Amino acid sequence: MCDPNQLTITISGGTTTEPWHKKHDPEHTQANLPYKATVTDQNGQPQANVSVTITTDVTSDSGGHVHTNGRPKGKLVDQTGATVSTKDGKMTIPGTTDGSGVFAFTFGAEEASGTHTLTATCVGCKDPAKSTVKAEISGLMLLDENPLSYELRGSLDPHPGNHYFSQAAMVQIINLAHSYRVDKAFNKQLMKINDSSLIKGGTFDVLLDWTSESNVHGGHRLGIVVDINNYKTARNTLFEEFAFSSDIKANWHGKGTAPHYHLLLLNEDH
Amino acid sequence: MLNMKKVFLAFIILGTCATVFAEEGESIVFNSSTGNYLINHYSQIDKKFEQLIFIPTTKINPALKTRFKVGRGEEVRYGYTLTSGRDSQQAIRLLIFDPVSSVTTNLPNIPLNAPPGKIMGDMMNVANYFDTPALWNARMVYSKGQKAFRISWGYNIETGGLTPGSNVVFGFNSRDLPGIILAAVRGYAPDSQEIDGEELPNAKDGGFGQQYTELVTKKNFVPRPAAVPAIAVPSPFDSAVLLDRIQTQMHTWIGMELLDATYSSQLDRYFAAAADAYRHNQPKAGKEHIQTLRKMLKKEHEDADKDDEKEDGKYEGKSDDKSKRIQIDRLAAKVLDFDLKYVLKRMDGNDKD
Repeated sequence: MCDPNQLTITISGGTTTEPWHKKHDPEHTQANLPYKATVTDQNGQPQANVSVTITTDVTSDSGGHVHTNGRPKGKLVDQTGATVSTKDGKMTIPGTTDGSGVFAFTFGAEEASGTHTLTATCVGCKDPAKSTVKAEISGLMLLDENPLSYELRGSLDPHPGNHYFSQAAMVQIINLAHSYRVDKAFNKQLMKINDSSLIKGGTFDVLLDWTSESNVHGGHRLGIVVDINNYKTARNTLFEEFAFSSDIKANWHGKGTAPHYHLLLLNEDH
Repeated sequence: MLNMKKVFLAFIILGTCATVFAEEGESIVFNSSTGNYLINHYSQIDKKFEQLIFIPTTKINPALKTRFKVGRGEEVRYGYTLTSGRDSQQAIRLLIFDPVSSVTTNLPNIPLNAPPGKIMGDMMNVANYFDTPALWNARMVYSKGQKAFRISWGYNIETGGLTPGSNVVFGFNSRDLPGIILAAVRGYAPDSQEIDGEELPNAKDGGFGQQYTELVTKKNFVPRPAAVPAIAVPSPFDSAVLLDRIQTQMHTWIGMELLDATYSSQLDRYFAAAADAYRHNQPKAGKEHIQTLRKMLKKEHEDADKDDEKEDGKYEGKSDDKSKRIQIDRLAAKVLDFDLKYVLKRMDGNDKD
């Protein structure tokens, strides 16, 4: 006989996904993962029509965001009979197991990278089931300090690690900075390297609002762009041509209160 | 919401204007009377549409004349005369060769794929040995992937550049034999307007963003064919391997429209026969096949084997006989003849069959 207080719930699905790019994926059909919560009895038999609850949470300070207010925790959607979209998903969703003892749902990443924990509970289950999913741009590397060759700047308490690059972009910025230091046109100045990407990429929300929509750092998601602070008032033709000579596009950011160059290290943004 | 609007792309040519539409209201319009682009773009920062006039750095008509000859030892001396056509509307400020396989100076050679960083200082020192005119600055960096080099000369004053009708001469040495690449030449457009650096569109959106990114990055220069070091000579010397490398380089010219594919196939037969002969220790036969190749080139361009360069560097694929279908560009014929002649020279005295 089935003991309703001896049910077991398990959870299975993906473990990593990329942060949501809200502008390019407004329907949220890309940055999500399918999951299953399965309920069985003490004999391992699937149990149908069991009420389950799925919740998602996010680990504080994960993804390089050392700020907490209003942090979204992920988007859960009941997938039963539906598409995989997690648009308008919620942090907690109820469900009921089907004839196979399964409740299917999706987890959708937020714009911010981070580590999320999914928890599944059911009526009659002894313990909750947990699963961890990381929303991240993989493979980003920290640019080491090298005060004799370039100056790193812009690190702030809410985003302490602001110099992460993809491998290809890392080669570009290191070589560019060293070239700048020795190039005759720039009087042995150090290149002033400001924000690139956070440790796991995703939105670089300088306004601490967990989105790229409202700020001017929308391109700083993938570790392939970086801001340079050597020029603060006007464009500099020599610098733009110097960058082009290294196959890098230097774009002037002249709006707002802190003009600077925004370099496309691989000649593309986002 | 703007980002909910369906993206569509259309390319319309109406009279003097070509237009690329993307998100509703965003467009790139080329004005053929000015040569500029009118960009309508939604500013995420200002939350409104704005109009920009992008002035490409391509309002120039450069001619790039290449000279190459064997110098001291086994080095090849490469020289370039960059002339700004009298019809250029902008000063020329930048010339880029990418990829270049190697350069040689009195300094130690720069290795490929060195760890990033300090090697750039060594490259800068090497670039100081290049032939560089006054007011110009030579640079050398790695090509993307670090398997070759990217060499450039830039005007080193904030304004001005090579004016229409004038020319400058650059150069360097290399142990490697010439191949052909498309050099990039850029003009001067200080008043050009671009989308703010922190609100660039998505370069992979298949629409406005992609068109814009290509316009300001990949298309914002004038290409010109140039002979540059491209073919490493095997050490120890191996004529068959070198012929294979020359042939591989030659095949890249088809995509540049410097070589007809059918004609290339005809050349391939003799390349294969020559390499095969050398592999089977039949240098005399190999030499004959190479001589046949050189005769084929001379038939297309009478001066293919001459050192003096009449080529004016324009990207037109010229032939001696204007009525004849162009099989191979004159510069390509001269480069190929030079490379083949080098193989013969190295094999001189080795005839055994």
